[in-house]
Amino acid sequence: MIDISENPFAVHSPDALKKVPAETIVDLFIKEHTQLDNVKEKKHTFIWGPRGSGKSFMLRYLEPQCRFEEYSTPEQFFESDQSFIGIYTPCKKGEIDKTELDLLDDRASQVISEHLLNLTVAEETLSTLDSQFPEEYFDDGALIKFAERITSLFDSGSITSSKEYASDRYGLEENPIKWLQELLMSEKRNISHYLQELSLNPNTNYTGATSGYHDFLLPLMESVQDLLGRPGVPIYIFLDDAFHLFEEQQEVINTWIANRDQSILCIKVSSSRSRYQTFETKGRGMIELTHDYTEVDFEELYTNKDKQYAKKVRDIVEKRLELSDVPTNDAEEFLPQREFEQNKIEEIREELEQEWIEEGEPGRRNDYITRYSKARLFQELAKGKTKKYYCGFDELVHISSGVVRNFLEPCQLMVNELKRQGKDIDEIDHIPPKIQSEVMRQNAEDFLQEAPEKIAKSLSQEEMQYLDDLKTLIRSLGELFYKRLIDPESRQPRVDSFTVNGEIPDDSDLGRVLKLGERIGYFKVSTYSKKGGGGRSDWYILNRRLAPMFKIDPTAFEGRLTLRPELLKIGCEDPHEFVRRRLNLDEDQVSLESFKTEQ
Amino acid sequence: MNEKKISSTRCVKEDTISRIDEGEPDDLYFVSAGFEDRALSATESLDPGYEAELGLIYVNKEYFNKSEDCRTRRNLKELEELMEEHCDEVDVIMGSWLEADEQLFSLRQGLQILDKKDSLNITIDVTTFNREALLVSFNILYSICDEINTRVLYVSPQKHGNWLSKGHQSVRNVIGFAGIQNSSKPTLLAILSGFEENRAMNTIDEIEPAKVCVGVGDPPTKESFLHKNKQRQELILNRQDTDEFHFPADSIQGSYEAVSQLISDYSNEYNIIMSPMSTKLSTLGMWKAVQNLEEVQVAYTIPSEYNLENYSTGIDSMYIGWI
Repeated sequence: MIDISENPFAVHSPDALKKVPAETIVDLFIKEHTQLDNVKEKKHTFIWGPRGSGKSFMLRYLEPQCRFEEYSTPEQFFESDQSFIGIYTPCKKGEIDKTELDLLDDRASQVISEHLLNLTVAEETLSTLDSQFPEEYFDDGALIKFAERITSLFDSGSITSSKEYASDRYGLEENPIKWLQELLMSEKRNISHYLQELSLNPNTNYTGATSGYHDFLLPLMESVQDLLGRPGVPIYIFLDDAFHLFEEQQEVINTWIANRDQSILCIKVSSSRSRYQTFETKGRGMIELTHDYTEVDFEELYTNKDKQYAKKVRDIVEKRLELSDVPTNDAEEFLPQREFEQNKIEEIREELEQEWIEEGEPGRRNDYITRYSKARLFQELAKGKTKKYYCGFDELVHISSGVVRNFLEPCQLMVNELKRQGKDIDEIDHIPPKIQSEVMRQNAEDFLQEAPEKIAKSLSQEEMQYLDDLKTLIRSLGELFYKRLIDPESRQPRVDSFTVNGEIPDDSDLGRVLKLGERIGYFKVSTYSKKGGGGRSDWYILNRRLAPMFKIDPTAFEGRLTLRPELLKIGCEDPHEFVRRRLNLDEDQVSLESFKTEQ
Repeated sequence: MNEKKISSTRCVKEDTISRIDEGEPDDLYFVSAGFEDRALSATESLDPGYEAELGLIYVNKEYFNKSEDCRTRRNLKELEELMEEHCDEVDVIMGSWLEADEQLFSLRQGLQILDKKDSLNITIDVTTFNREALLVSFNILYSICDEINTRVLYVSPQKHGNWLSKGHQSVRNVIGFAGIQNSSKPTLLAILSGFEENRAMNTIDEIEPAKVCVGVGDPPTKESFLHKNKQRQELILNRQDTDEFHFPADSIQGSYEAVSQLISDYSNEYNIIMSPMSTKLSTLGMWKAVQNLEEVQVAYTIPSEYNLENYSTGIDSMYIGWI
């Protein structure tokens, strides 16, 4: 098992979390900023978030073993306001989305898929009852009755061989849960045999059992309530990483959601939003937000708009430091800023205070100092050809762009690097700024190169052909933002976003480049109110993970550039020409919009 | 029958490939028209007296239709000409590298003609088959007939390009190897690694198993990427327990034994997914180990792009092995 005492920033794959003790999960989980109360509500819920944003960890935290750990006993939890039984059901790659299902027509594929999904949920349910409740929690007689009832949900003729298979291994009377698990395993085996046979012989017929929502899943969950003796406690099925499911399998899930039996069964689907392909049901209806389900979104990209994210990261870091063997629990102490830059910025602030007076005290003093101090630091470092170090807790939070894993993983590498240099974990009281910065630069480069691969599955060949143009545009923008940042004459140097002055049709080459940039995550696209009440317009913000690569300020958020479509087209081809033309425009300052005046 | 390695200087001129049974022609000579130069080498090494009743050439339509890749079409044409000298009948199976169902249907249709035979002598040049098509072909062939004698030819290159594949479009189970997953067990991903470290990392990243076992070819195909010399590798490998095991990349039998041992060591504790990314010989060793183990899944990762221009150059050796 991955040991947090060896590296406080260790990140587990969701599957590896299975082996992490409940106590550790409860210790490490930070409730704040997770909208946990919404997830706990007796409603169907979609939990959106990119991989690494903490969805799986939260769902593990909501499993019975962690609830019992937190409430001391099952009874205390069940007597609480929001009690439920959470069944963590990972949609692991290759477990339900079998390639062989493509050999069937849509209807047949959906029937087999639903049966496979039901069997998987049932297996996870049994596994939860078996391993997460205290020993002898359930009455033996009740367990036998439970197993018999579940068995009766299948067509008896279809499961004869599975019953025999189970009875060869366990006695129903002696070990009802194990017996039932073997029966379900045998049913999965039947599906597997069928699919394998189908690949060799297209005339193969499926003769095994099938199961649906009303005839299996719902009564299964009612039986769990009966077994617990708590008919008021709903069962929550946590379908983690549902983006791995095929579209027709997602339709099955949506159909379950459309049934609205929340007093017995709530479906909690976690997925990255862009990879959940449909909200259609099997009957070609649609499930709708509010009406059928609620949603929780883990994606928080504007770290300085939402201080909660920074607080959440701090809580996570300090909790992990506390549980590890490093000698400090303080996030800033462990991830310090560079002393040289700190001293420099103090000097700059004093200079700016004087300058503000000399300029006739324009606006508020603190605003003036805040606006120019960070930019002045970048300018002075550039003038002295001194490298900017990307370091310090706050700066790393900004660079992580709202995804906790983007913070933890680079820190994990920093600790690994110090260990490689011969330090023991209990000797590491801080990460030197140079190491922090080197890791963050490499991380930015990797992101630019590798982010497209994360979503390659959902990209068409046509979209892929715009990738080179997009990467050139990103380099153009990075260079432009850098040049503005280090220009002492620039009135608003800390800019990392742009809007478009002109129409860009969605089906034009440039429109597709921008769309691709949004899908890959190079840009976050928001909207802003146009001046003069002319509706809303798209606003493209460069992902801050890229800041170290282009030597720009990851905390920048004070304005946006306006770019014409013609110039953006040049940016897709020639960064040098793009920057030259845009900076010439800036000499007149005609196109610079102030962020503050338009908020 | 023993495995045999022939150096490049001898494999065309001196050690030629004759019929499996000297008294009668092979039932099938099977080859893939890939885009590499070595796609022709084994067929060029056939003894002038070599005969087969049926010659089949598998080709992926994506490469055949790709306007910038004339190598696949040229290799197909040359293979057809070469095989007409040795085979009573030569057919082309136009399959698909991207579409798994189309790949299966085309292979099933192409190989169907053999199902009337009681026993089969097959010579197959596995050099430029994509691994998925190779595994599916073996599944079909071994379901057609109980008594099969298969001779495997494999030509290794002198040199591989700087990169072989980039990106990944998707990861899927190879048809016929869906596996049976027990929900109470975590997943172990075992990779027979080769030169495509990027492809391996993408596979780990997509499957996110609880444990990874990285198989390192011995003799080594490349320094193990377990050395974590890149940040992304280190990040991905840090998310789960990671172990190393060794397999002989140049031996079907040796790879079979190594994979069988691995499965035996871990199958009680884990659901196992195998991902073959090394030589075709080791891929077949893995096939032999898992063909009757329905619990084990075999995963195939489709890259976004292959290095068509410079995947491999030259011929190093030809291996002859038997299933």
